[in-house]
Amino acid sequence: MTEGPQTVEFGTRSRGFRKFLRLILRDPAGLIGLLLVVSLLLVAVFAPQLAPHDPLAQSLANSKAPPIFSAGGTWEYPLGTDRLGRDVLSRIIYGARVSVTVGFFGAAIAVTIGMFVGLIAGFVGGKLDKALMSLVDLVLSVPYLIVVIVVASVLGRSLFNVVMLFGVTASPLFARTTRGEVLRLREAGFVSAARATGAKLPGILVRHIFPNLVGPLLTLATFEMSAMIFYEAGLSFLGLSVPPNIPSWGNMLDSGRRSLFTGLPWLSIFPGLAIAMTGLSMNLLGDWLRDILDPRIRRARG
Amino acid sequence: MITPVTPAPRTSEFLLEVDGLKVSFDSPDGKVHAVNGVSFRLRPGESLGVVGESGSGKSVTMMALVGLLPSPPAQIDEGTAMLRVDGAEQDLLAAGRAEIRRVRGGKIGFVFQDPLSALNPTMRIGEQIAESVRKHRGLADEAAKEVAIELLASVGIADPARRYRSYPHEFSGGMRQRVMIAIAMAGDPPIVIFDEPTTALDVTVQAQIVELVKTRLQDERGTAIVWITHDLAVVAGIADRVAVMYGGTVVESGPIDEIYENPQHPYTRGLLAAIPSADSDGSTRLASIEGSPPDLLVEPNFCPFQPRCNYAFDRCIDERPILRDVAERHRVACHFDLDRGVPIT
Amino acid sequence: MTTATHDSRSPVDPDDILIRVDALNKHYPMRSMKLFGSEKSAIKAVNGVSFQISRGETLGLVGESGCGKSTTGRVVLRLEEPTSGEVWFDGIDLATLDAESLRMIRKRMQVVFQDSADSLNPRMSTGRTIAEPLRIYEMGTDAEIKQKVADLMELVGLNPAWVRRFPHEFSGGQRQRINIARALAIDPDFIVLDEPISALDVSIQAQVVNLLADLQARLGLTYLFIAHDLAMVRHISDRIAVMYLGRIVETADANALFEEPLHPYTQALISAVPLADPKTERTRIPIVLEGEVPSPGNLPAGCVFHPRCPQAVERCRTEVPEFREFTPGRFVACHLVDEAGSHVVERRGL
Repeated sequence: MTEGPQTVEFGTRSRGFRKFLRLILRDPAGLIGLLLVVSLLLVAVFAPQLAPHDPLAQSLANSKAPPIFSAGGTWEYPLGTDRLGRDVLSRIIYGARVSVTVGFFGAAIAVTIGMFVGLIAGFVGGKLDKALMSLVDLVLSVPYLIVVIVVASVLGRSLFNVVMLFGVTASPLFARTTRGEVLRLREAGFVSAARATGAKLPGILVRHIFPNLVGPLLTLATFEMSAMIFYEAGLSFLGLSVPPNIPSWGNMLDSGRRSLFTGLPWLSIFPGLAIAMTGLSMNLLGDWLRDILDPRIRRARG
Repeated sequence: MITPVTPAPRTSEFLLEVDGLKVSFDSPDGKVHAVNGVSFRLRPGESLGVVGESGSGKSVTMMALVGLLPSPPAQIDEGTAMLRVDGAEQDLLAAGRAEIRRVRGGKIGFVFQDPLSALNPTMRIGEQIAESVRKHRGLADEAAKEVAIELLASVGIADPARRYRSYPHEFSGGMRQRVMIAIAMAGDPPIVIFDEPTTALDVTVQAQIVELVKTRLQDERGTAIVWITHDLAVVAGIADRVAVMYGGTVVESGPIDEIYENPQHPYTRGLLAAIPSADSDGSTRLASIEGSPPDLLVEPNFCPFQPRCNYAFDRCIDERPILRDVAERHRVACHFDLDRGVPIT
Repeated sequence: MTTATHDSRSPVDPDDILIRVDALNKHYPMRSMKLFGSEKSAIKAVNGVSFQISRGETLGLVGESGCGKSTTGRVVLRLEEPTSGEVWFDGIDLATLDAESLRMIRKRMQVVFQDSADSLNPRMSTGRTIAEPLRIYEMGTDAEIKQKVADLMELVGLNPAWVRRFPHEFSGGQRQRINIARALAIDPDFIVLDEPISALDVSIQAQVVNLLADLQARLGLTYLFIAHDLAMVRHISDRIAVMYLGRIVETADANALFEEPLHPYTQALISAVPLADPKTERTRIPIVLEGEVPSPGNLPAGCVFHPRCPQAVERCRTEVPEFREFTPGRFVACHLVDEAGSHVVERRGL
């Protein structure tokens, strides 16, 4: 809300917050999405404090313990243990860290690259625009699974590689959205009016372009985050993501898969549920964001 | 609920008789009272101008009649709309989906403001007319095509046989509106409703379209016309009778000359005074109506125009005025007698 | 044609002229794809437009969609670069200015657009919107800017308590008042009003027109009023210029134009305007123009209006009519107007 050498405070934060509360309470689905996403974040951040056990600690004596609601389940291992006796709950809690890292950092990289490219393409236009958009199409046309396999086999399996890869491959989406919005905004009456007043480009960017990019990009980022979490789980499942010694939902699915029909279904069911809930909550949040961040929709009344 | 004061003439006289129509929309901010008890009648061959500003409920009223309101969020709360064609009588508001679909195009044609969005961009315009001809006249493909070409010619499209094969984007705005009129004429309906058909057009094109409607529909076919507009000038040349709407109600209705020469509602007076006259050269100020359009979230148990009215008094806030007769077929909903300058007793 | 502004008979004192536009052209390159290679041509949106506006005067610029009236306004404001031609503001040729000088001139020229919603940043409060020009030119302290914004809101008839509201919380008429307040913030001399009332309800149009007239009287503003509603243009304008296909076909005093239009296009345009009077409407016979407006990418030879002109003669098909001053202040581009400034059409063919 602040910019320029002089700041005139015409919109107050408390008013904005009350509006936010009113908007979120009106939409139960959005509220659920928001609460779940916030809990996921908290779980990931406070994993060491929340997890009852060391996720890597093996204890063959306690292996294959059933979850609490099955016969023989104990509160010691509420979601049971795997074949090596590792606590499933603790592993899911730590696994959230991988998912959250991939989702947030992947999306952040994609937004940063995409917005930069989109802004330049939209504002400069002409040949540079054409060149950048061709590059974007090129990135889009490369099958990402093949790139992942190549990267994993050449550079090794690491979370960093996965995050970078997702960030780069998702950036074209953000570049296209940014460019489209910039092309629309630069023709908008308020940008023309600002130019007619003598506003310089940086001022126009800060006051008129960026604030109006936040809505569409944030919405898109939410959906992309959930997609990246899904993809990461898929790659882990295929053994192309984080090394097996790091607990992640995809790794857990993979190792649980073999026991799915041999009496230990919870080894796959619980990480599967975690993935599904995360995806659902982010999509709910994204839908809600799309609705409230579009002033045209909010304006449409009467 | 507004009930006419005049004893209803023999019902068969009217082609369309709308009584006490109420329509509301659900919105995140609450219930929007878009139409609050609208009543009007249309005789065969008559042309009725419905004049109002944005939010007056003029379009919503007409869309409700032909079942074009999306529900939800729209709901028709009250009212009847009797349509009498060929001796058969039906209530449009009680009609089922299939029944109302037969009414659309067959008994009531509709021409919208924006022909580009009303036409299918992937279909040749001739075929869009022929489709309507097939549906409402029950003709076979070849015969329907011939009728469609005749219709194109009659709405003033040059070289109709060739233009039959054009797509909407190849036409200008005025030509598209001609196509819309041809489609509305395809079923030869006794009523055609025009919803701001010339608002998006240039003034010279508007003159062409008005001329077309007068000759082809009014004079040649004797079609009854409802012309929805915000422009008192356009309606002056085309309507026999005018209904002025404000805040979801009809505030005044009557024969066109009466309304323009002897307006009895402060809003109608204000609207007429707000238009620069033929010789207005800026030496005089325009009479403007101060204030803003009404908030439709509040159910009007009062006169909707009262906050902007110079004549408003206590009763206007306490009680909603109903239409009363002021002259032959001239009715006004106002607690104040403008001519005598005293409240109605 | 530049005769318009260099004419010695012009009754206007050159010092009184605030805006002078000379032979302005704005052409957009257009590449039409052919089977083999492409063909270059140009859309001539503005094609040799000349006019001048005196201090405190309102010039109405009318014409139908696509005639180039809005583009003319944008080029005058230097929102778009002209292809050729000159725009002089208060004796300064805008083309000779560097970016910084142009910025300082822009302080004195403002604009109000048609679409009041599109003209306001949906994420900026009323106060920040109106304060933006003040902040760009760093005019005053925080407190001074706040006071000025409140004064401006009062001036345009908005409640200063609404300073924190956002555009979607206002009606169309109120939004247009915000746009006007923003345009007035840095005390301009000249405002381009680009269809400022076209999107408003009739009762609100009158409010805004009255406001504009009051502001002009109070602040000595000069207006270029671009519109297609002829009745309203006549009401607000001192003089009117009529555009067709990128050219001004007639310029005249507002009343003279309506009482005795000389160009056949002006005649058709005025005759097509409906009047809010059923009695005259029943007898009014509009001059109905045949056909459609040609594409500005493929202009007709000779007079651009000749394919639709009910009075066109052979000469109109070949020769571009000169934009000439017939009586002081009255310019027409038509072969059929004689030296005395009256129409010779009745004698055609006799």
